[in-house]
Amino acid sequence: MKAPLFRFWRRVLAGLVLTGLAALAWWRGGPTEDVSGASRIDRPARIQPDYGGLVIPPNIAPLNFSMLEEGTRYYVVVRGNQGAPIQIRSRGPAITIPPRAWQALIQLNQGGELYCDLYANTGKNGWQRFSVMTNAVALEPIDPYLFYRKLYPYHNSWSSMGLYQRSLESYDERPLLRTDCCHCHSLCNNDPNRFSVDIRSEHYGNSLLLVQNGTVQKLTGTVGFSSWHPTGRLLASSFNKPRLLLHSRKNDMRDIVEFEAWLGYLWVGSNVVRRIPSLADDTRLLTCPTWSPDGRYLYFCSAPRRFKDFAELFRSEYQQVKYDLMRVAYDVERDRWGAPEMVLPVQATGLSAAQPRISPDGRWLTFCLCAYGCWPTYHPESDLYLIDLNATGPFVPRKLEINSEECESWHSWSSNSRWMVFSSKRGNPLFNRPYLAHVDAQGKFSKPFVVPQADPAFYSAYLKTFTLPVLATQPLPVTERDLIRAISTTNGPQLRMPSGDEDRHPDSNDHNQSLR
Amino acid sequence: MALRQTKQSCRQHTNHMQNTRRRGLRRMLCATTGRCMGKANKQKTRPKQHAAPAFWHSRGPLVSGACFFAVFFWFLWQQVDPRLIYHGAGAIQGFPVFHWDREFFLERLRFPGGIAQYLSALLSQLLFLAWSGALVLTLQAWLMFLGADAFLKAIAAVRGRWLRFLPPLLLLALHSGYAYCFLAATHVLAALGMAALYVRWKPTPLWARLAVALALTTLLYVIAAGAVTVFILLTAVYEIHRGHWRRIFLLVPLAGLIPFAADGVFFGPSPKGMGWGLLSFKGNVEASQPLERTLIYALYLCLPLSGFGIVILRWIHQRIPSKATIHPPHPFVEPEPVNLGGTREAALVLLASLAVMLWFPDKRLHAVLAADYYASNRMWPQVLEAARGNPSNPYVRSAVNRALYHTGRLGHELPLIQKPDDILLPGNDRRAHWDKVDLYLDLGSVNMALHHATEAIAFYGEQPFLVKRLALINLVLGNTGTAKIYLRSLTSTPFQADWARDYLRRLELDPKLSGDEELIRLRQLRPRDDLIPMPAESMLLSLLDARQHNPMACEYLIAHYMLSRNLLGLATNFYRLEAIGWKSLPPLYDEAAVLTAKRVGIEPSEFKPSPSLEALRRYEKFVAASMAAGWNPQASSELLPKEFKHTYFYYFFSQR
Repeated sequence: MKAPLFRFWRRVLAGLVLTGLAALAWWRGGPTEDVSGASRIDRPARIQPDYGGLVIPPNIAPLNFSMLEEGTRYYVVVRGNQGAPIQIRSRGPAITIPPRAWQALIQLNQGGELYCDLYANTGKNGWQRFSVMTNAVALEPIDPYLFYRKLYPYHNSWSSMGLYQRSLESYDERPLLRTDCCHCHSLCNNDPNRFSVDIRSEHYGNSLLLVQNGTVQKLTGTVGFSSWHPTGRLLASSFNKPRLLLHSRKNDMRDIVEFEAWLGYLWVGSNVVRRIPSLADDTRLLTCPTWSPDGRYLYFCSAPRRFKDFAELFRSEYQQVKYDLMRVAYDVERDRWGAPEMVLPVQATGLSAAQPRISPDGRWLTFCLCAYGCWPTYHPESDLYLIDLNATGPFVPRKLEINSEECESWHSWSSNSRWMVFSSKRGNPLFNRPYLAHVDAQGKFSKPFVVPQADPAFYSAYLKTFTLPVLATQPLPVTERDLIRAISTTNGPQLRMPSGDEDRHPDSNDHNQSLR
Repeated sequence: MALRQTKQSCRQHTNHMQNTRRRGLRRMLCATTGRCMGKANKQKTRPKQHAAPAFWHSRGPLVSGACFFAVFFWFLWQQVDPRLIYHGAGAIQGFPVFHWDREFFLERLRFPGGIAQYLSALLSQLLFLAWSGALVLTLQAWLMFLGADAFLKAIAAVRGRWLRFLPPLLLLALHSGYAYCFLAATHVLAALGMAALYVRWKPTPLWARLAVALALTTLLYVIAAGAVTVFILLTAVYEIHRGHWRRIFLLVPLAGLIPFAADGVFFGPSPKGMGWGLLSFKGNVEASQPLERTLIYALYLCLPLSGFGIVILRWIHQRIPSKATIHPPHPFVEPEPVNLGGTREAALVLLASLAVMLWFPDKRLHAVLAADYYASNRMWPQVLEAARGNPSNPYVRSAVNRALYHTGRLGHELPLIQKPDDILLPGNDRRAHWDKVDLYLDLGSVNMALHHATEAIAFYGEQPFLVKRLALINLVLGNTGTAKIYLRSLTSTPFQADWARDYLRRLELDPKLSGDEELIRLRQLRPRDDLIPMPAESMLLSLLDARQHNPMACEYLIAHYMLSRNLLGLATNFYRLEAIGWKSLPPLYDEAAVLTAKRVGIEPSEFKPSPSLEALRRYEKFVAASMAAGWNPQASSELLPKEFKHTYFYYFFSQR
């Protein structure tokens, strides 16, 4: 009795499986579509994110996108001058490109172009073909990893800030640090084998973590922005007291002012912070240090110090605090500092400079200019500028073509100086998204594009903001657990501040007010 | 006769059930009611001496079980009100967010116990409505009851069968105190389910037994990592009951290694360390209040500890001979069923339930949650009603102030606030951020509402209440791109999706939403000048400078001056009341006007709006009475007639 019954159910099961597979195949669509009779539309299809007219790295993950054109079916062909084209049929507007075929295609067309034929079937009008979308594939690869912070765009609490490592060749994202603290990271020459994170935490206290060759060292004390000397032998840091202001009318209501900011440096392996002798001037605010790739200059931003506390702040015109872009010479072998030099005074632009970064080939100096202050991420008018350091004569800034109407900030270079990553709020004035742009040998930037995600609609509903993106040549050699263990350890050596500052800086216990 | 009939129908029923695929479900139902438990139970049924006790013996569990869960449901629905747990009001930590989203699901497959977390988050959304919330919580308690019953039966704990009510009672206590414990209960449920499988599936060889245990542990670790510890303890108790003492020394360490192996193979290293899932149930507990923490630990451990106690006591009992004791020849053999009996069990359950329902409800927290819930839904009379449970709580007071304003009664009742600046809510902690969102939005201080909403989301996560407010605020500010991101995020939530889709559709037609009356109103109320936020008075003044017709800011400002006894402020700003439409003044404003006029030296008739003659007469009477009391605040409070105790005059003079 059992055998026929078993056979019956087996057939039913097989039938169900086959039906399911057929339905799935129908839903996903087959590999080809007959679009020979498609009517032409003489404009590019509207897609999101905007991945048309780009220069893309030859090692980037598939640029998945959503069609914003009306349609019941979509058909996309990605092709190059070499290699088999990729055909994607979809019943929904999300176009997901198979990763292996994509990698093969862009590798084959390195230095060439990729073409994307886009079709939409509206049912009534049949297939419509939009203008071909063309992207160039650069010869130079981008550093395969991107480190960034993700956080809710809040103001004063840092309970869900996270440091992440994203593989740009795939969509893999690995958390590196998720604790209730505020932190900033810095890499030496894009190499995470020399990596630092400064921590400001109510729970764990303030510290500086130094990652070197797979080990984590904790130095207890409060550090601001850091920059590794290219030799990896020392770090220059700002030691500042930033404070948050909230505007009652401005659309981005956040603002940050500094009551105090000075520059110091720290030899790796030592816990003694030294003040830069030629910059030991308490009447000026000094911040955003960054080394030139040859290690001979430390670039920084400087402004007159107009107030020391809120009482003085409210009496002063804090919107008039604008930062010059400056540099100071340094001889690492003899530990000798030169005199400060002006790179770009406020008078030249009327704007305030912040976040200088120099391309690893030493040619390009990029920085933000905003109306005032040194916190461009809260200034919608903040734009990226570039100075050619090889040019003769005075330094002349050029506004980059990659800027938008919203804020651009937090930029960094790839190790081959051909790619830049930056945070941009284009499209909305609140959420920073990481954008990539190619830079050619003449310093011309290509159209920027947002870092691709597996889900093309990812950014349209994602409630966290991406800040401080930094390109890296390798993954971080330590795990999240190693970092958390280091933060929570209580036996890290205390940072020794220069005399006179000891009382003020290390573990000042003003974590929440000291903002990043 | 009745007994015979009952037994006969019971046998027929059992035979029928053996041939039906619904046997498992029936057994569960039978376990709930305590009736007709099939072959095993039939053997245990004791011949009854008398009809009446027999009736209660067999039906007592039915009555107690049914009544217990009916009362459980009613109590949750009508008294606890699960909507308040869903709303949270910033007072309940850890209530999960849920999205109908592939990535949301996949994310939860990447760590041990994510499936239980996903299911808990999904089912917790039913707490949005009172009845569905009560239903899902009752079902959870009922399933736990069934699991506990099956486990107690498995260890032949006939005398301890009443212990199956222990987990539901603990759940009732937790729900009464507004502790969100859905995930903890799901863990216990998963552990009981796996333990039931372990008990039913018993191959003879030791290696096969171990293989079953390890396979179930692995599965449980993947599904509900926090349940593994409970499961290991339950299996250990079961093995002790079966007399396999030595087996547990092999089983427990091996099962304890599973989380480490699973982390190594499936999930990868966790920042909390390999095998952290073994103790991950602690995560549910640590953020709780001490009493809640104890109750959640009790929920996790009550059955393993009870089971352990039972088997140990039985073991001791067997080794201390007593005339009154019936020794089972072997632990495998079911002991003679001597249980509490239906009546006694029903009585015990009734008493325990009553004790829990009287002892554990947190009425003060209920008032806080209810006031905030009704205020956020703009149900002002209900706010005033709910606030009676905890009138001194600052968040309740803030909700009451808003309710008084919206019902036109702020001029009738002076807010009970010690510091006048606290009219805009004291503190800057996470709880205050939650409450200030609606308060500032109501006042028209949109930027400050934005500030508090963004701060709150950092603490409470993407709670639909906060995301909805952020979408609305950004629409007011004209940040359409940002608002769309918040709205799109809401479209994947179970209960706010329609609201969000409606706004998205309207934004497609009109990106500025220029026809939306609420947005227009809030846009008009925004301060004109960009100022750094400041104390309450300055903030209210800046709002009124931007738009004179801001009734709420105006009344709050007057209330602020009245509370701070700032007669100069009252004198210079009283005219604003007329601007917002007050022609005849409510009693407190009336009295404040008289007092201001008298003390500052202005003719009352010059005051706009003018105080009433009645208020003037009241003032004169008050002065006379106070003079009689010698203007002594201490004496005044005793000697002044009661009619003055609710006047502004009394407040002004006596509470300095």
